[in-house]
Amino acid sequence: MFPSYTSNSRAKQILPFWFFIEGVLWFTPLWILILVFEVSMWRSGEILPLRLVARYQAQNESKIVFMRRYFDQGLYRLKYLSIQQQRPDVLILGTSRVMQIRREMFGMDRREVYNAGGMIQHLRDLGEFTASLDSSYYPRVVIIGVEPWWFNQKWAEMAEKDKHFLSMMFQDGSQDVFAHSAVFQSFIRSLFLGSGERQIIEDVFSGWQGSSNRGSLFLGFAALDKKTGFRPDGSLDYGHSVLPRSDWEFTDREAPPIIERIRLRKQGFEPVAGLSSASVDKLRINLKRLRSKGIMVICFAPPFSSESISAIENISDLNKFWHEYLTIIPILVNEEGGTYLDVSRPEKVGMDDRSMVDGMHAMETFHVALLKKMAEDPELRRILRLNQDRLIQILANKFSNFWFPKYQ
Amino acid sequence: MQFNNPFFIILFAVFFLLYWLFSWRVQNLLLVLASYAFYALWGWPAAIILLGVSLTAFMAGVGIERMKPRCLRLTVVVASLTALFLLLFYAKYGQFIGVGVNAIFSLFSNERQFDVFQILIFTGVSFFVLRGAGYILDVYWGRIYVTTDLVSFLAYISFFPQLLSGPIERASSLLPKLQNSRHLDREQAIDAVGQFIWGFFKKSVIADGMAIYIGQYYRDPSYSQGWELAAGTYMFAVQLYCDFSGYSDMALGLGRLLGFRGVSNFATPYFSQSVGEFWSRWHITLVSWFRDYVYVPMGGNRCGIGRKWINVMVVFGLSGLWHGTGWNYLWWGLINGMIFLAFSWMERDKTARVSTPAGEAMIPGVLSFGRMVVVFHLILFTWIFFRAGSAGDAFTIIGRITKAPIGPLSFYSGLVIPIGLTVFLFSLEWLQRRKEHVLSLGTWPVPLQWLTYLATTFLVACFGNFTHVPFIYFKF
Repeated sequence: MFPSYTSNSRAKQILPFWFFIEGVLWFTPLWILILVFEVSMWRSGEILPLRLVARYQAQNESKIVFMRRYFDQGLYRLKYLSIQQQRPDVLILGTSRVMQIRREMFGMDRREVYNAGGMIQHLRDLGEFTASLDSSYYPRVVIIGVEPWWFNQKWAEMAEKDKHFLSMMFQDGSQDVFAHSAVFQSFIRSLFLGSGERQIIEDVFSGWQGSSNRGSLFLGFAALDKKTGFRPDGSLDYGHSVLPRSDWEFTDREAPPIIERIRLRKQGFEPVAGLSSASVDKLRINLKRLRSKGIMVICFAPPFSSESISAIENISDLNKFWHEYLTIIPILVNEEGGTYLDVSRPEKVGMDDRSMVDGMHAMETFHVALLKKMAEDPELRRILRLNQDRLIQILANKFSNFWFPKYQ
Repeated sequence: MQFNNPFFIILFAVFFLLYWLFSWRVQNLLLVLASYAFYALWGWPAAIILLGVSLTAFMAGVGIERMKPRCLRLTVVVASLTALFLLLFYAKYGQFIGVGVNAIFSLFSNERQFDVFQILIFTGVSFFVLRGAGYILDVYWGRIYVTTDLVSFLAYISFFPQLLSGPIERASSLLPKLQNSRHLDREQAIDAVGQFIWGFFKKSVIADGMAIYIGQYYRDPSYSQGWELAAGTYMFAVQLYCDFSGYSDMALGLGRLLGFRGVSNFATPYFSQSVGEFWSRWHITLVSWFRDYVYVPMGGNRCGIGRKWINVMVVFGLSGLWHGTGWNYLWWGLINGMIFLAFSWMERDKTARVSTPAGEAMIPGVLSFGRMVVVFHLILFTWIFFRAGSAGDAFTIIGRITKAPIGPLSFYSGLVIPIGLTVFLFSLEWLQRRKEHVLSLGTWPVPLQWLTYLATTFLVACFGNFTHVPFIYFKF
């Protein structure tokens, strides 16, 4: 089959190519597995570049939900690209605790609203994002969920070091060759050694079917499987099953429960004497920057469950900090021309712990109630173009439960 | 981009196909372009430095050849070597000295006197400077003819398979091959693939797998137990060997696929029965470089025992400094020098390398095995200085190991994987110790060779570490 090395110079010339073909053929099983893996990842939307995800979500009317299972969601980049694509008039900023605010709450056709929850994890993110806003685009209004741990010096020093807006806005984990290798390794291990999650084998061999399902588009294996993920408006479709009213009771579903974090004084609840003055200054600078660009600012304190608040208030090395968070931040926001709403407990919007999915994440109905509270202020109602009657109707609708409101 | 990056493998495959389309002159040009593109991934200043070193060595060679008066030739040699080693000194020690100078000035003034500007660390500079310096000296001493073929010379200095961490191939070995046509031998090419895959296995599965444990124990030695540090030191010996020899195997495999049979850099060093033998089997090209360009010109062992001892200590000291800027590296070099001298005094003429480590017997004799264990542990002791963050840390580690070298059984049960990998590695290396690398299966039927390489690749896919862990010797 292969030309003899000593036969002639022509044979010597073509030998490397024959050798290449020989090598490729012997490694065929590996190429097939890689091909199956990569095509499946692509067709399922798992490794679809985030710029395409943002574009599809911006351009399509139909429901396109995105959530990856094996690669990093790239929330910084996804939200940033979506903002660039959609140029929202009303922009919601904050952590996962603001992700349940939906466009539908403002009105069924309010395409100018975008939820960038998850893109602002700390004040460094907020600073870098606000600094990135230039004259080519400013939102008219920003709604910011201001977190207490942003002002916890011990937490902030660690959190702001590595992952921040400027370092993450260009990162798309699905485009990293080492990330692909690591996920491919999980697949190979499951396939040949039976170790790890069998789910990846099912996913890879089903992902070929593609990412559409009954007219909707689900991008990413988590979205395909659970029919949940990030909507075109940036909010997170949580997808939990609806419970009958008789079964509603508060359960802290976070792992570990928020109450444990508070008791162990970690993950944002590190003991500190009070608000970090440096962090307070950072917020002030950011508010000034937004005001100088003519952007209206509405801040709110996202809620905790009553047991979480009770724990914070009863811990001596946290309660002063908590008290300052609830008193100093509102004053600062008002001084800088913004509006502040304290909705740190569900009761502040007329709800209770049943509207919380865990100790610090409230679900959609809470946020409808939040907007209803905003709509009580004529100025906010005008700025956000809220329909107060509609919000009241949504909350009163018999099909609205503690988590999922009926919008129409 | 490292050799164990899947993207590199794809690019190399494309380059391989393109390379073999052309004559050797065009191949050399392609090598130069590919090597500079490869190096420029670390930053374009790095590529400029590489070009500067190459042109300095090239022009020095031409200058030495054309100048007739000896003093002028010597001037060219001194000037060019000074330039090269000043660059190397700056790259390795610039920041170290800048910080020191500022510290001194801060005693007299509150204001910083000198900006410690960002010293760019050029990966591989320690290696290609030695290549260039070796060429200049070889021309001066008449060991090789000067080359006027700039492209082949650039290809020699920048040869990308060897650029970042060696082997430090001599001009007398590689340049003639670059200045002639080359051919691909099928059996050799298959073996080269095996060598590359074996190197990949050593790096990705063994070295990077060990790194996790070692990092834990060595991060803060004052908080680690003696047995943890002892275990970490053993694992570091394996990690360092697999990381560096793995890189060398990958480099040699790639070179062979391009038609160049390079010089082996490792020859089962941990099976050595004397310290002298160890240094003839470990980082062979660096040791031989220091021998031929430093030790022998200083007089070697021809000027009496006292002078020999000084020469040996100078060579090992310089080797330590070549590796790194910390005092721990100097300690490493000097301690190795002392051990080498002590062993060579005891062994007299038995320091030479034997062709097959520990002889031809499948099972080594008790004495042979004992000697291997002793030599291994002497070298292991010096690795503490090599791995520690500082000389102080090294002494702390030694102190803690001395006080509590053995831990509870439960500790070792958590090390089943690294121990298993070590046994696996050394068993295969022992069985294949006569061969250039473990997957050198030339006597096997070709289909079986390919299947073995495929199986090894699947092992890498299953057990390799795919986070970005740089090769250890990149920092030198």
